[in-house]
Amino acid sequence: MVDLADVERPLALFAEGIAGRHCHLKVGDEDAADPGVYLPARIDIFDDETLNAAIYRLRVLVQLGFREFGTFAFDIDRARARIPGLAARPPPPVHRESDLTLFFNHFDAPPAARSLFHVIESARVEAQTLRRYPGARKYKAALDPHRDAPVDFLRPVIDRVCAPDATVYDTAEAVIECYGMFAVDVEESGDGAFPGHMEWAQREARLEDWERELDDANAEVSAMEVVELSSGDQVKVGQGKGDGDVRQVGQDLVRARDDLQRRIDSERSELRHRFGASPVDARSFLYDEWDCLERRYRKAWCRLFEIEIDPRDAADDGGRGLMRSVRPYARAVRRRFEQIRPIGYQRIRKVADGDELDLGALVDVRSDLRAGVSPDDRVYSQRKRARRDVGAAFLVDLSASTDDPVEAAEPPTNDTAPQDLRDPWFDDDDASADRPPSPAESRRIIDIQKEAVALMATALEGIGDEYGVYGFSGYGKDCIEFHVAKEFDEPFRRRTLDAIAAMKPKRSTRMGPAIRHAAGKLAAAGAALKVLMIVSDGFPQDCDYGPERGNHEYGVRDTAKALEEAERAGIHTFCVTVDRSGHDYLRRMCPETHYMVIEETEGLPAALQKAYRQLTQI
Amino acid sequence: MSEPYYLPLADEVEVFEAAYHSRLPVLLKGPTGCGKTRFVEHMTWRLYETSDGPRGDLAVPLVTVSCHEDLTATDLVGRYLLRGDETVWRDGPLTQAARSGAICYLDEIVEARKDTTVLVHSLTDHRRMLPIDKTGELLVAHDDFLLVISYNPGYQSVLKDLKTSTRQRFVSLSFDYPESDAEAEIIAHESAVAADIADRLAAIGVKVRNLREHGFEEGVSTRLLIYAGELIRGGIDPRRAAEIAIVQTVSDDANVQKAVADIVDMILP
Repeated sequence: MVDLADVERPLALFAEGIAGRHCHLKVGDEDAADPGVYLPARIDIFDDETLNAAIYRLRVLVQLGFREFGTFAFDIDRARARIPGLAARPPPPVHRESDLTLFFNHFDAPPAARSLFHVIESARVEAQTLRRYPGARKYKAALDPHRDAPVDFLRPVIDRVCAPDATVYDTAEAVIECYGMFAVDVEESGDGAFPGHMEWAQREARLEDWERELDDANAEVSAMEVVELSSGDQVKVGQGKGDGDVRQVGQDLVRARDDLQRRIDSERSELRHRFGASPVDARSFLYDEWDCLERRYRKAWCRLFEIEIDPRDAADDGGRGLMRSVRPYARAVRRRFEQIRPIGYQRIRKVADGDELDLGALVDVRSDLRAGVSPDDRVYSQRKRARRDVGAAFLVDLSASTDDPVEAAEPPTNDTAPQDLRDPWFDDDDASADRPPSPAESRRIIDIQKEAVALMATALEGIGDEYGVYGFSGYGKDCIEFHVAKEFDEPFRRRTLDAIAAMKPKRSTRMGPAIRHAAGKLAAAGAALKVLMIVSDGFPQDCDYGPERGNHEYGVRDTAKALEEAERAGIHTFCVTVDRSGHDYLRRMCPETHYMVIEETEGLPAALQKAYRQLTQI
Repeated sequence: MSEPYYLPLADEVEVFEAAYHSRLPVLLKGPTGCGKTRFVEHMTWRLYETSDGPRGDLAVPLVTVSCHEDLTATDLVGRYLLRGDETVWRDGPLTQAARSGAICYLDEIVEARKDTTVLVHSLTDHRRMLPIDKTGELLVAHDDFLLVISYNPGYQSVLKDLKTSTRQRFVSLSFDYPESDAEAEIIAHESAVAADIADRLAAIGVKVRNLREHGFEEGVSTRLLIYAGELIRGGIDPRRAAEIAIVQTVSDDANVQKAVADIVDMILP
């Protein structure tokens, strides 16, 4: 028996290698419309574990095969042109659907056609897959006795579509052929229906095609413009009066291109709407979570999406505004940091030039001379400042509550308010009525967090420590967002400030996975001294972080566990919170020396610097 | 010397020839093991060995220096050596090439110390000369001399980037791993394995390079694929050969290794 959770990481890499892009591996339910590779939660067919694991890979190959072998490239117009049996049927009304859906709609009972298509197309793709990946044949052979053989009447068509040069259109033709005869049978057997997400995947693939078409169309239009210009006509294509063939053609081209552009825009927005929950182009990672009730890890429980912050999302003046607000302090902070003494000096021996002669090298030279061989001319030693080898990750809480104005951190009049204010789902109509109306330029917690991090960044640039800046939020265990403002190996640029400025309050605070992910990044950066600083405004909580929402014990314990894991990996962790009640839970999360509760939010930048200096001064 | 095998992927042969005729220094960029060194060998053969003039008679037409971080200007230019009780001047490889009119190829130039890279400046502009401060000689390069350097933009850190002032003295040719078909042809030629095995190895190359970002930035090089082919031809089982030459070599991360091994397992028959 093999659990997906146990093999997920190498399997995801395997899928990425085969597909050439990151694939989200998901459990079960193929009816979900999210893109991804769907796999059973566990495979228990053979006694041999390695064989069970290999079946996972076989399934990944075949599912990726739908894209690789052209299922999603299905084009309804081309199909109608190629298959007489299809052209004979009246075309269905066209809405915004995938071309495959359009194909199914040619039939009286689309679900039957769709099941039939799935069965035949799967056979075709599997045959192609085994041809391209012959290593998979042995696994398929092992699996075959455990699978249902195709229904007899399908066998001839399946043999046909398994030919090396068969395409998705041959499948379509086979569907038409079989549909009339056996539609009822297939319809009644409910399983094997063509999974819904495949049709979305087709639309996604089709969008990519359209985008390529658009590029071509753009090229054609600009070529046409060049032609017109060179013929001495200064009128742009599409704006002329329509005399002459060239111009007519040009106008048609422009119109076709604009149509295509509109089609792409609307399709893209629909796909984005559909896939909203799991960002298509973000990488995802699975992390364990500590279940304090059962005292065990829940394997691969949380899915974390790593999302690069788009610096263009920054509000109005973006990084410049941030720079303006930190500039008054920047110089002082920098100076204070530059006082951090470097760890020491190191003498590098045997160099071609330096500040002192290296006695050992000189002795070697003398003895070489005596022996009559050519001496090495590198006889100096050099004093070099040893590099501070520090790597730091800053992890900023982007929960919804960081949107609160700083004034609201005053003890509110409402007794229940402190907890509920931090709860992003709390319907706080009443609470907000109690709050003083915020002045136009009142600052929010997030603003101060951003300033603190931006100041740290300028300071660290001064002393040359490597650092990354990340934000985290999310909603639910399957959608933790890890926002990247700056990676370790990225130089500090204008863009970095813009990205920090673009950090926005999002949803809730599932700290555990974010800490685990940041710790992984720190470990990969490979500095000798690793520091993880978490800047937050409240306790860890999420909609399903623990059995009941009101109880934060589960989240606190998982976060504590994540911090402990990081410490064990040689990372110094430190939590800074602006939540005055922070002592209550931070005490349970980490040792007293590893956290700091800030009374006045405005004091965050100074506190962060102080903590950092103490942590890294050896 | 027989013709070193090289399969042109674009117009690089013509470009290099044109550059040579105008004596423009050439910079080759590209990942490790994609054929830069072989290309230089091939071009030297074309330009020297097949030449009827005095160039064809040059004993050492190509001087290659693999740069490393301890490589000093002295190592390139030359030094005084002791012979018996006297000191004699010995030309370094760069001086040798400039004197004789050979092609000097500095491989992985950014690895060398900064003073070394600056040394080539006077050789690579209109002056074409090399001052040798230890002997006081101002060596004017031979008419046939050409400097070629290579560097790998991928794996060096920002700190080790090539200086603009150096880079701007060269015309640049970019290299990358060949397309699957061409790579299969190269593997088949170099390792003399059967065409279908070469195809399989090239397919492995493509898939493994999809994992470039995970702990190994360069993917598997054409050179490694050829090694695998050579092991197979030497009688090693294809899976074992791929494991030794590819799986174990590209990454130390256990998960990545596992994924690469799985890809190999699926692609090999």
